[in-house]
Amino acid sequence: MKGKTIVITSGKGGVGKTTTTANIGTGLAMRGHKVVVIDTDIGLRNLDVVMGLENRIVYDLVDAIEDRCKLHQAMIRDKHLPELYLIPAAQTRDKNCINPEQLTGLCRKLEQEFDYVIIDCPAGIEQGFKNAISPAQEAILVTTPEVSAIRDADRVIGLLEAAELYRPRLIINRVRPGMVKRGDMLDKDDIVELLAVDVLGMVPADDRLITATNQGVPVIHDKRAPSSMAFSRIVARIDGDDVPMLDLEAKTGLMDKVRDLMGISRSEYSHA
Amino acid sequence: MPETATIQVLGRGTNVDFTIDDTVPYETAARNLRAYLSECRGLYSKGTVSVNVGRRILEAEQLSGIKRILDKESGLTVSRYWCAPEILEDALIHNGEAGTFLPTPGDHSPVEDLLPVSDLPAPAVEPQEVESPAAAVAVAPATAEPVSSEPVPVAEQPEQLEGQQLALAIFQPENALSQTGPAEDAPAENAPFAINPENAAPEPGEVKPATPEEIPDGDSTVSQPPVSAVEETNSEPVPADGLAATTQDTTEEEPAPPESGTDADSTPPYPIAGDRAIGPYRGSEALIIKTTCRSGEVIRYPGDVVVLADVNPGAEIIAGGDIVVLGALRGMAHAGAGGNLKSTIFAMNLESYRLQIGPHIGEAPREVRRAKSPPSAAPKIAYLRRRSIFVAPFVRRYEEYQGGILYEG
Repeated sequence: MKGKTIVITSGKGGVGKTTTTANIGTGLAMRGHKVVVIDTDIGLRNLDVVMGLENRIVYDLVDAIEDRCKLHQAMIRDKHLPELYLIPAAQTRDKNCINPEQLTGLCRKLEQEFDYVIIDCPAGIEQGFKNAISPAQEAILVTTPEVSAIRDADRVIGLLEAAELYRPRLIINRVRPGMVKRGDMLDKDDIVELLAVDVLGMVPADDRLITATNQGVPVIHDKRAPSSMAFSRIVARIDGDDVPMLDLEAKTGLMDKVRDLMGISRSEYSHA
Repeated sequence: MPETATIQVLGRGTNVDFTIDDTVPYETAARNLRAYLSECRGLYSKGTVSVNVGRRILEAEQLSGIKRILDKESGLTVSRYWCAPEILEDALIHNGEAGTFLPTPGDHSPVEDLLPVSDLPAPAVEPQEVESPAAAVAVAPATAEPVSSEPVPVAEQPEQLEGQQLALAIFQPENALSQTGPAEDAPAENAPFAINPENAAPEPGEVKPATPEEIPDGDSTVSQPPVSAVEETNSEPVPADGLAATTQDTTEEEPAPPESGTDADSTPPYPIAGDRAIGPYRGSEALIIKTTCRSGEVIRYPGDVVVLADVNPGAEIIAGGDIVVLGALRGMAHAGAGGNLKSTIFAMNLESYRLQIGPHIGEAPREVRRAKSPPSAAPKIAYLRRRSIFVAPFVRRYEEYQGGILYEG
């Protein structure tokens, strides 16, 4: 059995890489796969917090790489899903303390055992980025519909192609369908025209996602959250299902129209 | 000073070449060699020497005589013997005999000899580099055939080579490269001798830089005979070919430096240091780029640049000639960077709001920038008139563009 290593990256910080990683990892595990998510943001670890596993960390990625523990000791089993594991980043070290070859070796070992190895890439394009992308066979790019995030995504696509990770797939995060409709936000076609990559999915801006993240439970567990639906569809596409792409649409109830006119927009969504 | 009537000396790093004039009898040569060495006693203490015997065929005892002289009068170790190309075949006969002078694998004496020196900055040989290297050139066997047949080292037993490599590697690691394989660097080593009869007396200034250059490089291409250097350049892939492979390295952290051998003949108006490794500029050739230029990518080329894709915001194209983009141009485009004010920028979708031609920068007027929809998709051309950049619709033919919007500087 040979697994697949996927890196989730963005270039710009704060666009939702870690949340996306947690949800994609959880979603794949919910579909019955053996999944391990690796946080490579050494020094600024977050993924354990988002997944609610912070209190269980004994050993971390750097310990595993530097042979201070067995690989299995560094893997933390998820609270909800027995087939989902997390390898947390070290908090007291920095990104230069591992190199791409070491991480690649670790992922090759994990691929023997797991169906999916999901790597959460740190922001930036320095050593941490190089470490994170080197073991990957596929890349998923997270961006928000903002010019700055898209500019960084463009640069990262260039760097990924230089590292022979061609045609990364794009997740557009925090889309506000109402703003897109009014023409105040870049829509999918604008982004695709510029970046010239395939879109894996769009995730609406969702208050429930923020709540869930703060509680340490990936939002994909909350079946009724709009972002959860979007993530489920993204996960299905990663898993090879052919799920048609739907445009996010704002709710068009009467109250929403009133709110829209008054400028108080609640979370506007449906799913893509 | 190192020049005597019959012996020419050329220092190359830790290695010294002796060329023995082949018109004088052996006895005279041997006497002169001894005289020369005793005269410069102290100049050489440790190191290796290669002896070029010219066109004469030396007997085994004559060769050993030379070796004895060298051993006695200097601390040099004979690494190899060279001869003129015409007597290649004859030289090959001497393989076995000459080989006896080389250190055998079991013989560690050269290594031990050289070890202490490795700590010192090679005091014995350095003066050689400074001393007129041109002298060595003038002596080359007058009738030597230039390049056609490469002289091979008389001795090339592999086991002996290993011993030699070891010695050199310990002596000065960065030089080891150029000296590890006699068979490989035979042309490089012999180049000055084989080639220079043609340009009878080269300026010392011409030759001098060559010597220090090839020492740090450890690179045989620098001292390669001109003829083969030309061949090398011609056989290089044209830029379009190279692209498919080179577009991958888009990282600024590791820009592909231009080949030292290739830009020597092109002398571009400014150094090419693009992210994509590009071939030398040869006048009329354009650089054709077939993949999207993404943010952070910089393309510098002294000629024309054609992009068969988009140029995204954050990407830069700096061309000595024209820029043609058969997609959307959204990044920075700088045409005529070498100073050619007749350069133009053409794009199927010209969406950059800032363009540069030569030293003149143009910025799109407010109404163009404020327009909510992107500028119309008609092909446009940017050109320079009275030191201002104008962007005009491109109609039918290159000669027919005119008017257009002024992009203020």
